[in-house]
This record gives sequence, structure tokens and C-alpha cells, in this order.
Amino acid sequence: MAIEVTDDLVCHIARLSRIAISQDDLKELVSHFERILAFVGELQSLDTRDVEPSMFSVESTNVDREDIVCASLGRTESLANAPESNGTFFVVPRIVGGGSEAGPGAPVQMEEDGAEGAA
Amino acid sequence: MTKSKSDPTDGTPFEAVIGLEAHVQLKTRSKMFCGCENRFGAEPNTLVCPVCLGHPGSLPVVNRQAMEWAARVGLACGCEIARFTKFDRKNYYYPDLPKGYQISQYDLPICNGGEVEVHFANDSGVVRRKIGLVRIHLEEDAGKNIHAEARPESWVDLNRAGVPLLEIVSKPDMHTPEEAGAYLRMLRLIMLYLGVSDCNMEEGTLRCDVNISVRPRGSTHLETRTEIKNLNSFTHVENALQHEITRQMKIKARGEKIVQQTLLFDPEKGETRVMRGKEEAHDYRYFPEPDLAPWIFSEEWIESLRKSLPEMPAVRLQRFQGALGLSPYHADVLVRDVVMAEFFEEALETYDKAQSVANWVTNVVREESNARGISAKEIGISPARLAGLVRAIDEGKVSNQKARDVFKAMLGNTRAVAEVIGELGLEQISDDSFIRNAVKEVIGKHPGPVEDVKKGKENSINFLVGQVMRQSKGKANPGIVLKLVKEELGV
Amino acid sequence: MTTREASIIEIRDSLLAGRTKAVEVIHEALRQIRAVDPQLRATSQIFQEEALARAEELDMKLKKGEEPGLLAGVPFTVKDNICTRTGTTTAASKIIPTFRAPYDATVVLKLLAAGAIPIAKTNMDEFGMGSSTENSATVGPTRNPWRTTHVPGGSSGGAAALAAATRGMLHLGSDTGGSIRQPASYCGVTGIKPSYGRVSRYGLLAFASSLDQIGVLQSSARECAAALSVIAGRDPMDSTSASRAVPHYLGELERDVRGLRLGIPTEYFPDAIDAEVRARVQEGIDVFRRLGVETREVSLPHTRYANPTYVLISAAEASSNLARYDGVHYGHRARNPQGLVELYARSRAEGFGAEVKRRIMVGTFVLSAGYHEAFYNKACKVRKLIRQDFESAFKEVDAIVCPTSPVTAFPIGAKIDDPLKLYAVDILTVPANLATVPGISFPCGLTSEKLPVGLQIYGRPFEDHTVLRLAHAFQMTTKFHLAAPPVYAGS
Repeated sequence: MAIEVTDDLVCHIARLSRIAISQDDLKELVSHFERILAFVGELQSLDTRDVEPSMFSVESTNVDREDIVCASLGRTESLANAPESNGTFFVVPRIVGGGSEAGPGAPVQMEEDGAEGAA
Repeated sequence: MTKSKSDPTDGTPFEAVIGLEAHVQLKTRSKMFCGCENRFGAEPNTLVCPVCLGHPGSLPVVNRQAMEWAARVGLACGCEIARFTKFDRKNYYYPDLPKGYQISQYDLPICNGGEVEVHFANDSGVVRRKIGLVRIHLEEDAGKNIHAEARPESWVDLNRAGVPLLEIVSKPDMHTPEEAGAYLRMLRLIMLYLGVSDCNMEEGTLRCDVNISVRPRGSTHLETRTEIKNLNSFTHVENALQHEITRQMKIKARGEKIVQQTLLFDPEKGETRVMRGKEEAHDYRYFPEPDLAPWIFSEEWIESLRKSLPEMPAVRLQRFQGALGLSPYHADVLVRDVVMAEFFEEALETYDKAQSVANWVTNVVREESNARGISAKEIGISPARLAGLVRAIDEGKVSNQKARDVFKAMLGNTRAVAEVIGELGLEQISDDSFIRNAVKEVIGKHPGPVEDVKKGKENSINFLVGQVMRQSKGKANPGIVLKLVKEELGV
Repeated sequence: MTTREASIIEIRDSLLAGRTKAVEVIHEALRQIRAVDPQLRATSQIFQEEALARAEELDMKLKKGEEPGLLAGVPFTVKDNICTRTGTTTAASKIIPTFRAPYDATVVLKLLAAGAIPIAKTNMDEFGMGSSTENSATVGPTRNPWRTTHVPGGSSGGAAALAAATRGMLHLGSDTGGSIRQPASYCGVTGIKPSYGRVSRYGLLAFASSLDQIGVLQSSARECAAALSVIAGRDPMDSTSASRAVPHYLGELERDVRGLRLGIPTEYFPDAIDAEVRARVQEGIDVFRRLGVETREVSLPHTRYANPTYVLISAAEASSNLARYDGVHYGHRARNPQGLVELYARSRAEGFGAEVKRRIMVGTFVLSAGYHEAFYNKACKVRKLIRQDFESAFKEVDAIVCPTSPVTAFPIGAKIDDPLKLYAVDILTVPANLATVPGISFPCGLTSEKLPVGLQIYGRPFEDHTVLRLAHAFQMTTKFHLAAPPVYAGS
């Protein structure tokens, strides 16, 4: 598949990756993406229509555990590495635009331009 | 039965199309992928370990109980259980998601298809409907973000992170708010019957998102839909749906188009507001979770799980009405409360007049347990002793009315019915000669009413019966009193 | 030329015989590390006090006659991407510059249980992404003890440099695409990447979960076997660890290699191979022939696709594995972020090095909507073909021999500005990770520039003992592994 590596594409990927990039980074990344795509382009010539993808490296199935409660960490230890905490919770800048409690299936996707207040 | 809500599409040319995505927390002892305790209400950030904190280097391990329970739920809903299933990573950033991805299931969920049979009452009587399921999959719950009151910050508690969560996706098979409410209540009941979840909406062990669109009646086309998130009570689901269906009908009536968006319901204002626009920002980049092995359900395993299923609510309802001959009302009330239904069935082992026992269980026992906020099993009378009391009533040993006093006196002890009746002096008097004497005495004292009766005033008979009952301190058998009053007055 | 004789296997015997004390062993190890580290910059932390305290404790135990473990008193170093309760675990990244793991990795626990003593953490390419140990954001480049202007290879470059410049220690490394074998080759030591699942990954900071494996870098195959017999085996905390029985690796070494069939894959000797590397490897293969090992040509036709496949799969998994470093729960957080999105984007931009960011973005791209099928899925399919290549080849031969790297150690700075040039040195090592097979690299001589050349042997999955046995047989008749580099503190 022929892909044109545009500034927009790389900016989109950087946003999805949650990595801020400068104009200089962008230039370098566009060139890197072009080279990587050329490098992996060789795969496209290979016919894999009838090949089952190899998704796992583990050879077993049904590796599990009993439903048994084990010791948790104490709160001090849980929060010990936190860049910001109040001794009870991890603290982050106020989450705006998402209402409360976005559980799984309900993540609040941040606005693409980073202006989350706009949501 | 579920109270009927007015259908906002009634008398309009529109029909609503509703689908539900329910999230059910499983009540396993430990979390989905680590050994931390699965418990609501603990001190924040105390039920966490390197795995559910998403610490560098930690790895998940599947909780077998959660896998089995997921399959059990699927079997109870008639789903096809995947012989081969796997977990996938759903990648997104949010403070309550410490790994930056949620371990979920993408293309090979544990359960496919299936249906949930619901019944509810509306103006045209009892409606039974089958709501189709798309799939049921297992995933891990996220933590909780809490918004600080006076500070420009939010707080994160990860106790809930990693709790096993079933996502149950219905087909867009529902058309009214009450259907959706009935469906959700039935899902909850199924979970309670299976004993896999408490489905407590206040504690968030059952949560729900709904998808709604509106189309011209008779159309089969699926139109642009909106999604409402953050619904945490059955009433909110119904109210939000009413509001949203009405909103969409108004827009369509103006000839305008519905905008695809995600909404949040504000239960206080009874309104929805936009949470985010069209779904273009979503790109979850699913791929198979390389830290977990794939999973195989063997035929034998599935069969043994199927055999271990308890009787499910829809089947029980039919049995209570059919084989036991209960009224639809009593059958419904019993089926909706697992503990009460069990209490009822145990009582039947002692005394098998099902309707009599059902009357008592659904009235007196239910009142008592509701008043004290405890289950039927906890009120302090065994099903066998309650059955004994009901038998005593049916045999005329105590009046239905006085039996309530006997019931109260039987709570919290193990004394036999007869003993309690005797001690309270509440034995019903069915002795004809004793009652006849009392009847004669009352007739002598109240010539006026006697005259009225003879003139054909039926009410006055009741007055005389009441006087006899009063004189016997309520112990006389009211049936015999009535019979003898009539005899003595020759009516 | 100095030779190295003391091995980790003899330390326990010396302790038991009373010829030395654990404290002396640790002092000697610390002396060696301190002697070479200023020139090599191979460590990120040295645990002097903790190691001496553990040694004293061990000496007390021995005094009391308690049974010491298999590796009693053996000092060991831990690559900085493996969690230790002692000190910090940073993966050589500024995103977690002070992270203190609340737990020890399973390999560390196993070594501790065997009586070994952690003495230092070793430098690496950030998160294992690199082949030169120049991408270390915390320590800076590590230098090759054979020539300090040259790279030691990577990403386990610190471990390889120390293994070459000292003796009598065990060095834990990790290998995602050659990160143990390639630096072992450049530093003239023996390094094994065990079969996928042979050694628990619990506590290894994930780079690419389906490819990562912990192994060791030592002076001989015999030391590797001793180390592997302690760290191999099923771990309930790692779902991908194999439950197969662990062979008696030291015992297996002694079996004759005569009659074993060694495959020479034509695809592993392309024109790009340095002439001297080719010559040394051919001479090494001749050594096997003299040992009675049967050699024959085999074909692994999809070899040329291995590196692009590796680049795609490793990047995809890395993009997800490294999502957890987001400045919320641990690690670097940008100052005064304006909201959550900025917190994420700036913390990650500031914390990750350029190569890590490139790989995360490439990985995000190959998993993203519209490109997932063409890149990620395609790569998974090609991985299948590569695995099939090995399966077919291993029907004809018991092991495969090839160079470890097409080139020898290169000057620091020579390839750092061109990521793709650096990726090219991985072409002969990545297939082992894609195919989950064990691979060992050991020295087979020096170039005219006095730089070591590595010979690589691949075995069938879980036949780690076969590759160790072949390497051991080689080392029993040659002295390449005993050669000490110019920077050497061993005696």
C-alpha cells in the first residue's frame, strides 16, 4: 500500500501517541517514517493470503490462577512513586469535559487539538 | 410488575430503536488479573498491587473463576460459548487506566449471540419479549476519577482498577423506555440467580450506556443514533430514554437531521448534554494481549457448566404460574427476589398450598424484610415455621388477622406455631355453642340493627358480626360467626 | 594475554570449603567493577553496602552450617530494566529516573533464593531500544573493553562490557531482537537468549512482550548453564512462562556432540557480512566439524523479511507497553501542564529519548485504523512464515550456526544518527525472537583489529541445553572465550 507521509499524518500519530513534537521533530519524523515505510515495504511483495497470523509466542493455553486474594501494597507504597499525590489519591490536573467516572467502554477521548476544555 | 411508563412515540409516526451496553462487575474474591481483593468501599488506593497499578514489569494472570462465570452468564442467556477466545489490548489514555490500555476482548469474545426474555406490564396487559444479544465479553474495570471540590484538580483511586467486568451488548431490539428498563432488570435478575454479581447500581456494579435512534414507524432502516453514557439507575435509564426519544422526534419532525454524538444524562434536570461529538477521535488500536495465553473452552467443560446452571427467572416464572398455579402477580413478585423465592420454595416443603404460602411470603414476609432492610432469610423465622403458621390459618386454628401477631411473636426464636398461639391466647374459637351464645347476647343488645337486617340492610349483618368478634376478643372464627348470625336472624 | 579462570560455579565450592568468605567475594567483585567502570561506564548503580550486608548474612549462615544455595555468594548484576527492590529501576530513561520498584523481578528472587548477591545495575539502551548502548539517557554510552572508542553493542551493553572486563560474576540481560547476543559478540563473551517462556519475564520492563526474554552474559557456556539452571522455570506470575520441566543444564553439557547435525543457513551469510567475520565464523564451523558434528546447508527462505517484521511487531507492542509512562502514576511529569492532554504529551516528550519516541510513533502508526491490516497483521503473518522456516529446518538438523552480527564493534557515534543503519546489525539475531527459539553467541576469534567475533547457534524451542552443549564443546577445545580484553580487572 502506497502511503504518502504527510505532516498531518505524523501529527495525528504523535497526538495518538501522546507525544508533543516541535516543527523540527516533525520534519525529522516525516523523513523517518518515509524511510521506515520503504524498509518494511519488502513485506508487501510477499503473498500471505492463506497464512494464519502468528499472534502469540506462548505455547500453552488456559494459563490461569485460582480466585484467591493476595496481599496488596500499603497506600504509602502505592503512592510512593507518584509525581503528585495528596497522601490518599493520585492527583492530576482537573479532568474537564468528561463528566464523572468514564469507565471502560466510556473513555473520554481528549480533543485532538489538546484543548480539552472545549469538549 | 414494572410500572408502565408512557411511551413517548405513542400516537406519533415514529418508532424508537434502542440498544443497551451493560457493564456488570463480577463479584469474584480477587481481581481479574491479580490477587488484590475485589471489594467496594475500601480506603482509596489500598486494594492495589504492581499489576493493577500498571507498574513497569508487572504482568497479568487470568482469574479462572471470572472466565467460568462469564461462560455461565453466556449459557444462561443462550449464547454460543467461544471454543477459542483471547484477550486484546484496547489502547487509550485516561488517568483511571494506569497501563494506558485496558485488557478487553475484541474479535473473539467469550459469548456470541443469545437472548434475554423479558416480561413487563403495560396498558395492554403483560408483554413478553425476547431481546437479542450481540455478544458478552470480559474485561478489566478502570479505577475512579474523583473531581476535587475546591481545587483545580482531579483525584485517582485505583481500587476498582482490574475488577472483572462483563460487557453485555444487546441488539437494537427495544423500542420503548419500559422495554429497556425491563431488559436491564432482567439482566440484573439473571446475574443474581447465577450468583456472579450484586448488580448494585449505586455501587456501580451494574452500569449502562444506551444507543437511541428514531425512525418512521414501519421502517427497518437503522438511522443515525446517539449514545447516552453514565446511567446509574433503572429510573435514569428510562427517564433518559424518554427525554432523548422526545428530543429526536422533535428534530425529525422539523425535518432536521440527528447528529451522531455521545451524551451525558443529568438526572437532576432530566436532560442530556453533549459529552463529545462524532466518534472520529476513537482509535483504540486493538491487538492481541501478548502477556496472556489464549483460552480454550472444551465441549466437556461447557457441558458441565451448562448442567450446573440454576433454574433461570423466565423458567421459574412459568413453573410458579403453571405447576404451582400462582397468580401472575404473586409469581412475578417471588421471581424478582431470589431470596424470597427460595424462602417460598423451602416453605412449600413443609406445607404445599402454594397460593396460601405465596400470599404470606409476598405480603407479611416481604413487608417485614423491607421494613428492616434485610432479606427474607434474615428476619428470624424459618420457611418451615412460616409454613406451619400458614397451615394453622388454613386449618382455622388462628384467624388471618391474629396470625400477624403470631408471626411477630415467632420472630427471633424457634418456638412452634401452636405454642405461640396458645401463649398469646389467640386460638381461634370455632366452637358453635360458645359462638351461638355470644350471637344471642349481641342480638339481644342491638335491636335496632336486627330490625335493619330484617328489612334487608346487608351492612347491618357486618355490624353484628363485628360486635360478636369484639366480644370474643377477635378469637371467634368469623366465618362461623357470620353463619350463626344469619341462622339466628333467619336470613 | 590474561586468561580468566575463576567461574561462578567454583565460588560456592570455595565458600563451602572455607577457602574464602562471601564478604571477600563481594569485596573482590566491587574492586573489579570499580577498577573498570570509570573507563567503561557499564553500571548505573553499585549496591556496595547492601551487597556486603547480604554477604555477611551469608557468611553467618555458612558458619551455622546452613545449606547454601546453588549460587551461594555469587555476585550478580542486573540490567537496569529488571526490577529490584534495592535501588532504582530506570531502563536508562529519564521518564522514570528515580523509579523504585516495590518488588523484585522473579529472576532476582530466584537468584536471591539460590544465595547469589546483587551488586550492581548495568547500563543499557533506553528501554532496550538500540544496539550500541549509546541510547542511555541516564549514564551515557558504555564503552567496549576491547577498545574504549567503540561501542559494546546493545542493548545489554553494560552487562556485556562487565562480563568481558571482570570475572566471577553473573550478569542478567534481556534480549528482544539480539540485545544479549549482539553485545556478547562485540565484547567477546558468551550470551544466551533462552527459548521464549523459559525464564520468567515478571519484573522485566516490557519492550515487546512477545519477543522479550531474560538471559545471561558470562565468560563461558558452562557459566551460562549454571545460571540458567537457577533462573529457568515456570512462574505463576508470568502467564507466558513455560511449564515444561527444566533440564539439568550442567549435566547436559557433558554429553558428546558427535553426530549432532548442525545446519548452515545460506541466507545468514549475505554479502553484507564483514569478510573477517565470515572467516572467523567459517573457522568456528570447522571446529565443530573436527568435533564430529555433522554440518549441512539448510534454507530459511524468509530470513530477509525478518528484520522488517521485527521492526513492525516490536514497535507495535512497544507503543502499547510504553503507554503506562504517562506522568500520572509514576515517573516524570512535565511542570505546570495546562490540562491533562498537555500533561501526557509533554511528560512523554520530555521523558523519552528520540529513538524511543520514534519507535512508539511507528508502533502507534502500524496499529492505527487504516494501517493495522497492512502492517501489524501482515507482520504477524510473516512471523508465521519465519516460524515455519525454523520448524522445517529443525526437521533436518539439531541446531543452526551463523554469525551473531554482520559486523564487529563499531566506533561510538558511527551509526547513532542513522537509526536504520543501526537496525541492520540486528538482521541475524531477530529471527530467534520472532521464532521463540533459543540462541547463544560465543567468541570465535578476533579480527585483525583485535575486536571479537561472535558465533551464534540456534536450537529448537526449549532445547536450550543443546545450544549450550554445542557452545561448551567448542569452548572445551578452543581458548577464544578465555581471552581477556585490554580493559580487564580479573586478576
